[in-house]
Amino acid sequence: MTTGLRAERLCLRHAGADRDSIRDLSLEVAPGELLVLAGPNGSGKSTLLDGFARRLRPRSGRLCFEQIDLHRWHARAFARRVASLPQSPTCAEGASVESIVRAGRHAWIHALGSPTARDREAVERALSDLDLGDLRRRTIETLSGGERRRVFLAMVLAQESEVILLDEPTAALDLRQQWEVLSLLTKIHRERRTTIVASLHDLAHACEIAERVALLHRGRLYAVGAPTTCLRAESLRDVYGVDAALEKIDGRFVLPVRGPADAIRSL
Amino acid sequence: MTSASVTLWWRTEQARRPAIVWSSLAGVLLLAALVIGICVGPTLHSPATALRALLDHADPLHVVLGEIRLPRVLAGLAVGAALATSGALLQAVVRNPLADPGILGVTAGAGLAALATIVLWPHATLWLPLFAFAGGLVEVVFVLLLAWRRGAESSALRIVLTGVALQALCLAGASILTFLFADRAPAFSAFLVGSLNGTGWSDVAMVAIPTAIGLIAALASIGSLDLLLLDEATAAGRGLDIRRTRFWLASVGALLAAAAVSVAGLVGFVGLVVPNALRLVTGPSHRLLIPIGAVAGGALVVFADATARASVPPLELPVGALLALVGGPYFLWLLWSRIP
Repeated sequence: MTTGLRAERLCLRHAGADRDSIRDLSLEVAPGELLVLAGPNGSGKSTLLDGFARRLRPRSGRLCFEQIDLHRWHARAFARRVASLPQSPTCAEGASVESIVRAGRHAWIHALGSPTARDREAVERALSDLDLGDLRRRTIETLSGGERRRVFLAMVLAQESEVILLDEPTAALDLRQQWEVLSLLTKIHRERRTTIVASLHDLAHACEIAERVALLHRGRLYAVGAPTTCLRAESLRDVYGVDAALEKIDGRFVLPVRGPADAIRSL
Repeated sequence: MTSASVTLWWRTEQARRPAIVWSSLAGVLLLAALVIGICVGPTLHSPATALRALLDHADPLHVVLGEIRLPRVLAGLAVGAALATSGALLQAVVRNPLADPGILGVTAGAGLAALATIVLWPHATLWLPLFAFAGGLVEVVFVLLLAWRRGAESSALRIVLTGVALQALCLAGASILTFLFADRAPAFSAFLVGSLNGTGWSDVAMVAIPTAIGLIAALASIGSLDLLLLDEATAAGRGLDIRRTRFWLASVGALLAAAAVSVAGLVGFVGLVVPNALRLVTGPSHRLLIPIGAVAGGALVVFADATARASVPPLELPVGALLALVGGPYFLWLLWSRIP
């Protein structure tokens, strides 16, 4: 019996679009796993995450969490279990770092109640986990892109959910910041057994952190499985249209691209 | 220090400034509004004289100060608090600093409903705020629906222009009603510009009850209001039901606007000026913005009304005209600096 997030023969379509961005896709996210969604631009990674985050209703098929249809969950109850973050979160100017991280506790605080000791603890822990202690009183517009990303990640951590959905958490970060975000994700995953579903552009990164990779191609699930089996040369040729193969150098994955290639078979 | 670093210092400091400082500031402002509102008018009185007159029923000044000025000041406080809070709520709902119950036409919608109640059902004055609320709510829901487009967040301009169009419709309805029922309708020009002339104790009750309900609802929604500072996807990921929250907050905003309209007519710009000016000092969080804004809005209306009474005695200018003198240029400045 599965208790995690599950998509069954799912079709998703954005409002106003004339075709489905996710087509007939079935995928189970096992509790406690770190799953990376990979695929070229437009393959449906963000759309699938939108579906899991309840931002899109299935056009057909089913989306559920703990066997219950996602859209039957109460918004707060769901947010206590599943936290999501879009690719480029924004906040009004003038909001302090601390107030943004505190927003992560919304699902836990009753409308008429005030934050409890546990809420304050969660905020403090998230601030220190992301090394934001010194920035806590700064306002969002005074921070760099990397610092802002850390603030929003801290907000997600403060939510203390068992599942975290992240859309391109390393986008627009420099090399060092990318490395920091990825190592933080693996650390949280390892220490708290948090289920993490993240879309990543960099396949070498995906291989480094993922337990499983789901490779998307034109809205369908091309392959899912262990990173090295999922991202073989022929898959890369089919899905990305490149002649490339993963190599391991000094225990690290690299992905040299030798040039464009025609697909062997198409879906 | 450069101005940028001064702003930064001020912003970082404000987060540390304890609640007690803010509450005492609000208390001083409230007291100042009461004292100035009661003492200033066509005739000036010292606070001591005024206090004596208020407490002593036999005092010759008691009727003027206790039966005319005091209810007028209290009504002004409630009207200002309602409008400022309504403005803060509507700005959060449409994610735009240009929103205001006047600009979005909520007061016009409430006003039309109130006017229709007065001329068509003259004995229902007790229910006036309720009908005004219904009118304001229908109007704001129409604005949100008409400005809404599939798949995209409504732009500031779209919302504001939709509000302007609906406001024109409501005002046209109101002027036709006053024309047809000239014998029963209140002075239309005073209603249009907003005025506190002739408010008595019954008006205080009429505005204070819905204002209190609306304020409590707004204070209970501070967490949701702050989440609306985030983009929609991020807010939804924290467990906020965006559509339900927007409808709820727009309803509370309409209730507050309706409360103000029921006694003072279409007083404009308080809901625009107060929250926007306050944000420069308190930051965008609603934890301070809602309670301090309510006090500041009330004080602003009372100060403006005192000025309106004292400036050309024995005439009393409508308070709405004075507020528009401040609010109009402020709106232009906001439009010029915030809309690319």
